[in-house]
Amino acid sequence: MGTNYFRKRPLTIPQQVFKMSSNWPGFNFKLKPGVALWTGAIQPTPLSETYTVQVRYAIGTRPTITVISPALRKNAKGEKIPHRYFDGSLCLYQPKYGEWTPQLFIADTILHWTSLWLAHYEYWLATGEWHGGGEHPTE
Amino acid sequence: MSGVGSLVVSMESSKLPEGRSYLLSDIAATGPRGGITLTTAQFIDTHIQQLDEILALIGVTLEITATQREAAEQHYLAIAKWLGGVEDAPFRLYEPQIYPQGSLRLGTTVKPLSDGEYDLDLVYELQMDYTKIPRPVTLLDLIELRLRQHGTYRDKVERKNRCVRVNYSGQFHLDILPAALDLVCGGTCVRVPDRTTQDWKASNPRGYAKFFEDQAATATAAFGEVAVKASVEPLPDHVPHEEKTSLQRDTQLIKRLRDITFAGNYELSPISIVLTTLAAQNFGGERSVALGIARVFNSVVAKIPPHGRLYVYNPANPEEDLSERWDKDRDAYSAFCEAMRQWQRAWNALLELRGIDKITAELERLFGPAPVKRAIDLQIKALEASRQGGRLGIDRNTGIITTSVSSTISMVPRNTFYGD
Repeated sequence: MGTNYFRKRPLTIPQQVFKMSSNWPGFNFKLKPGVALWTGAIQPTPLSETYTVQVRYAIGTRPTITVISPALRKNAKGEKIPHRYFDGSLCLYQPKYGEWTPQLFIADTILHWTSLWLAHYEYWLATGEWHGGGEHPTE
Repeated sequence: MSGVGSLVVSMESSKLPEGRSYLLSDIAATGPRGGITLTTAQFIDTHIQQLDEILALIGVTLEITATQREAAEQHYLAIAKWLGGVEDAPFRLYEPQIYPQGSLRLGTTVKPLSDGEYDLDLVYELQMDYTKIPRPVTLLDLIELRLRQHGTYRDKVERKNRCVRVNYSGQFHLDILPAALDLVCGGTCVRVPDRTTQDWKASNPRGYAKFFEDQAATATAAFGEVAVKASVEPLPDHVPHEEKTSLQRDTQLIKRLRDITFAGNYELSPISIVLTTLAAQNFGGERSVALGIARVFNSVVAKIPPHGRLYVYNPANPEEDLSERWDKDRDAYSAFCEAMRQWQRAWNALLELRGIDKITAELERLFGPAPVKRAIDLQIKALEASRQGGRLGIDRNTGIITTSVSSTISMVPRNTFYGD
């Protein structure tokens, strides 16, 4: 394990699946042709709701994180939810900073950021302010 | 300016000192200006702790500010001096002792709603047997006369049933309650004149304060007994909210609930001493304010009798019925019972509620929007500061974000939320 040569190769689906099942035993795994699907519950803070989220990953694409339930809502001001892709999935990292690359485990990154995103989402609903920072695409 | 200054977040994650509650170590005072430090040593572990943190942050903004307290102290000392410290002061031969009572003494003062005033209660206790004083109301009259001889107080004096009030318009009124010793009851028991009945009423302000402090001490280490025997007892030292006992904080929040609930019909509002006594008598020693308040509401509601009424006596002098007003004012009593039942239902539901936004909305309804918004803002900023400091982990069993350390917790790597 562990030469530079190997580290530069993307982790395989089985590697991701193995790490997910050992670190996040509460998540269910399903394999569709070429696509890994994990579904599980995340409660971002003890006073928060518990969200069912789905992580979808295929080699060569970014992991897609969708909140299945409860449905995400606009805040009291009627503003749209920040930091989401057009399909409603969560924008958890800035691709150009290399915060997540296919060489990294989803189990060590994506789920953490999902919980952090959900925490900020609830505080955003409560206060109307997004305190979690982040960047918006220019243009 | 209100009490909370800038948010300072400690960069080092400290261990919790033994024997101190989560809350006290988490939010430490940084001096008399009332700035607070959120160290987020343990950001959150259970929903009760997280709720307690929000309640503590609400409580911080309800505290009297250092400036207001200084003003109160100056008024108090000036009046005490005028009443007790000079040659021609009334009753000088009876060695009057002047001491604070009520919320400033107990540390349960809450910021009044926008149009309200702080009240500061002062006892003017003569060291003589009340039975030796032929007309109780003489005491009130002589104090009033004395105050009217002073240029500053002359136009501020107002006669009340059991006290003489000095109004500092817009910020304070200071109630001076004359008292004489009740040797039959003994201890710190006194009698106070009552204008309406032209008679004496039993009381025991010092005994009451001791009762409250003893009850509070069932949850935390007793604070040092103030054994000042001077003729003018100073106000107790200012204690920042986060260093107060949980009973003091329970009481403050219950009084705030009262202020909000009865904002539209203040005349029916249960008085502070009644709520304070009920909070103290039904206190179960909980360090958690969320659970402590739940216990008080559950237990008071259970004690409301089906017929007649609830009696709230001074625990230090059972002859003093603190709730005597309910004898005549049945509307006020019904309003009290209704409010208690509502608060009980709302509080128990709050403990089960999930979703920061839903909890925020409910707390805003109960305590008013401003202090709650501020509390929620401080909590999320503390979370962000821990994130910036690289101290956040996630519990892999629940997905809960935490700053605790254990085998199921894995650190949250750096990220930048992206996209619209």
